[in-house]
Amino acid sequence: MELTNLIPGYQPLPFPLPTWLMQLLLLLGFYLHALPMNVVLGGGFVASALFFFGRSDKTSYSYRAAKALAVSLPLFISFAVTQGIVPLLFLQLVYGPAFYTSSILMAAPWLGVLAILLASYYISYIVIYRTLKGEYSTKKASVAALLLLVMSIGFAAIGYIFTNNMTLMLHPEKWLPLYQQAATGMHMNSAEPQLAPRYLHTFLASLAVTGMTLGCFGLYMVKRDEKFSDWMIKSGSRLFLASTLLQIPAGLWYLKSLPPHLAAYFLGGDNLITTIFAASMLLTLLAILFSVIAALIGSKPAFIAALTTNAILILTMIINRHQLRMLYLNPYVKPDSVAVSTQWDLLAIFLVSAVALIAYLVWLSKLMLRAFKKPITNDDSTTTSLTSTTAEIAPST
Amino acid sequence: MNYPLWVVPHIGGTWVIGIISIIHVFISHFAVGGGIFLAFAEELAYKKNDDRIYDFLKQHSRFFVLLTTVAGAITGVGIWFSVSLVSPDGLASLIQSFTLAWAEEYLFFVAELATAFAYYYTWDRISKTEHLFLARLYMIFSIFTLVIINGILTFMLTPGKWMVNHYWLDGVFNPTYFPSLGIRILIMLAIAGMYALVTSSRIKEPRFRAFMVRYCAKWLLPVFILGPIFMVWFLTQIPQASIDTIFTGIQTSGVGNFSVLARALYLSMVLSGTILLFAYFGPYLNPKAFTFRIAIMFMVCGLAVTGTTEWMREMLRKPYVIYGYLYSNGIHKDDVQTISSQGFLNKGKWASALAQHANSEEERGELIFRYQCLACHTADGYRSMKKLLGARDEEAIENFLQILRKTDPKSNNYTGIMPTLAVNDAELKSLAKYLSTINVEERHHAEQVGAKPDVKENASTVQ
Ligand code: HEC
Ligand code: HEM
Repeated sequence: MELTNLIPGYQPLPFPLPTWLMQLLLLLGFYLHALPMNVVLGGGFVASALFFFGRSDKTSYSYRAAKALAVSLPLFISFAVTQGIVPLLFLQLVYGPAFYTSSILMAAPWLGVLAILLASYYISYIVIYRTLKGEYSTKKASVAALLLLVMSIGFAAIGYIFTNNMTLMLHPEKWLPLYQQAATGMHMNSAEPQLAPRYLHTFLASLAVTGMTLGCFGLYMVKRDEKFSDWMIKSGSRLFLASTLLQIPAGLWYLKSLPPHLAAYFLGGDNLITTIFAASMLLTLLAILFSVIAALIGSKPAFIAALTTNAILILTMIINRHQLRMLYLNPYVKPDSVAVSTQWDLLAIFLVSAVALIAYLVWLSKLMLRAFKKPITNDDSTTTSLTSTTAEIAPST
Repeated sequence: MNYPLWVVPHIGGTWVIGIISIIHVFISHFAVGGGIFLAFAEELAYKKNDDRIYDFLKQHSRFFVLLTTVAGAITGVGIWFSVSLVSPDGLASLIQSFTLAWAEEYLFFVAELATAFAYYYTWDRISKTEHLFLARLYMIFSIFTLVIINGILTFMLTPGKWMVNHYWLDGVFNPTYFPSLGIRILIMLAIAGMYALVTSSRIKEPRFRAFMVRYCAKWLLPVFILGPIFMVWFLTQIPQASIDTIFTGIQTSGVGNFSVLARALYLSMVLSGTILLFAYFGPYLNPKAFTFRIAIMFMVCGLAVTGTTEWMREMLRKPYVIYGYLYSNGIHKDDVQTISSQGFLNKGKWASALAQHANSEEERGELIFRYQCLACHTADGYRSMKKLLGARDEEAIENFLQILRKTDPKSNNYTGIMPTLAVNDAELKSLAKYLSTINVEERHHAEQVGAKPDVKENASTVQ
């Protein structure tokens, strides 16, 4: 059968935005999802390990770093979930014909994402309220390590299901046989050659981003505790360095797992794709270089350079990832064929609101910073435990 | 027919959406109502300068933040996920029309979440005036998320002028927009009161507990006083066919004079009335005797009302996802005519692809059943086809399907609840053949009992 006969059509309605703008918002939205999502994915494992190693001494750097990460995790989860909405919206809009189909084929695990997310999200709060509040004990620290491990396995499973869906949507030739096997949505894309390397690639990246996050915590507390800050920057950079070095063979494996005619686009076959790919390789080298310096001597400028390089690097990777999707789907899914009737009025409202939101968030962050500079006014407060733990990580006792 | 159809045994796809939605509605209405509650109660604390109310609010806000930012947000994404699996054509139509409205809602949602965290983390860390300001901001942002999403929800029932011009603003501000907004806000206040009753019931000091219990009970009142007014306004705006579905029922469906909808309406009213009476005689008149258990009972009743009300809202929209435009089974109303002359199994992408592999007539019939009936029925579970077909034999089923195929409500009195069957003659026969394999047991049973086969349809086709 002609595969194009299996690609559902778009609805007989125009698109509300030009295609390029939808693609841009999809990319941007996914970038903003990927950053906190990486901290969630890697941060849980790292915090668990740090709690385990620092469990017998609450003044150890390991314990304190773990606590800093654990306390901030719910916020990162919240960002990751909220920022997931944007790419979800635009993915459905632009690539709906492929994405709805693959989601239906794996409906059960796909809905399972939400159950796992709910459980893992609440575990992140249980860790804070049950193991980090009140009297410290080695046992509580071990429980924290264990709970965080369980939570992280949940998040790792979510990421795995996502990778399954993101790759299944690229392969229309697999759809009909899967559906004919069972229409109850129990499938995954486990036989996909791209799956393991792609997932490994994401996972290593999440450890690297967690390293950068630890370093950022270090930067934040330079004034309050210089030694701890130095340790955080060094260890964060080391974590980044180690996972990025591992990323080299993982990335090569990923590239090799792609169909040769598609891999060729990245290796000179297409100017734009190759340029971005080359840029990402260059940025990787730079990031490695900067993080070596930061890991060895704890240099703040070197760390900041690594951080910035890495932020751009992730963006290039995401663009490449998007281009790969276009390469796969171009013969089948054609968003350009849909009429566009731009909703200018609503777009204008949206843009103005977006700017207003950014201004508001800046104002709110300033308020928060000011609130956390001052000591707390009412000591027997029960609700502020979260934030007081954030403050506690700084002063060394 | 455009997509592969997700088959959910026993409960059907509708209930997958249904379960997630009911939980989400109950939490998200709390997110908005609770926001209003927190702002007003904090103002009370501020004016009275009463630390006990502040302590109560700190306690309550922790519960609030943990529930709304986690379970509220995730069940919200959950509705979206589940609708995309069960009704991809419907969701795609909504997204193609309202992406930017959703994007706008997302902005308010981000502001709402950020403010919720800021509000919660800054107790005692900023001045009381500033904190009250945050509470009010939260209230405003959360109301705005409702203002937008209400447009999309009501659009599905009454698309209004959008049907003509496809202009987003006409879709959002459709005929039921304002009455529905009113009802929702009232319900939100009541739900906020119920949740706050739970926290209040845990206050140790008896006199203060009595004070707070009474204060919270008052939040249940507005919906009972103003609710009926908005409800009547709402009912005047919905399509006549939906009203008929409620009040006259479906005579031939064999459920008697009361339609299921009317029953749900009465159930919802009885439950709400119970809550009101209990709220008045319990926490309001007798706040001292109020306990945690009673508070939980209120919550259970509230959840039941939410459940029945949401189910009713869904039923009103039957048989459409977007009223008068797109049927629940993903078929456009305007396409029915062409399909019934050219056939269904060569029209939609997946339906026709699957049909090429269907070798027998039953298999083709099963495909039509899957694509045109499973949106609301299951073979043997929820709205069981087996039960509903009863003892009809193949011929009786065929006659029934002939009715279902008519577009004129005069000769097809199912038009208010079921989509017009879109098939050609041969396909109708295949479907009948397949359906007759579902209710073999039923027929067998009826023969033993000696009941006459159902001849109702024969009568009405003769008409
Ligand atoms: C939009 C939702 C919807 C769709 C789609 C739908 N139905 Fe129904 N159907 C209903 C409802 C609601 C009832 C009333 C149920 C009740 O009485 O409990 C009903 C009742 C029935 C009954 C019993 C009617 C009677 O008078 O005995 C039969 C038979 C039936 N449906 C068959 C079908 C078939 C066959 C299809 C597919 C061609 C179909 N339905 C598609 C919603 C739907
Ligand atoms: C917090 C738990 C989550 C984790 C660990 C996670 C992880 C991931 C991963 C690993 C990918 C990339 C998959 C790949 O391409 O191989 C991804 C993509 C995506 N995620 Fe998440 N995710 C989470 C939550 C969410 C939620 C709640 C949403 C929806 C609101 C969401 C929306 C998306 C979307 C739309 C994409 C695809 C974007 C694109 O392809 O352009 N994610 N996620």
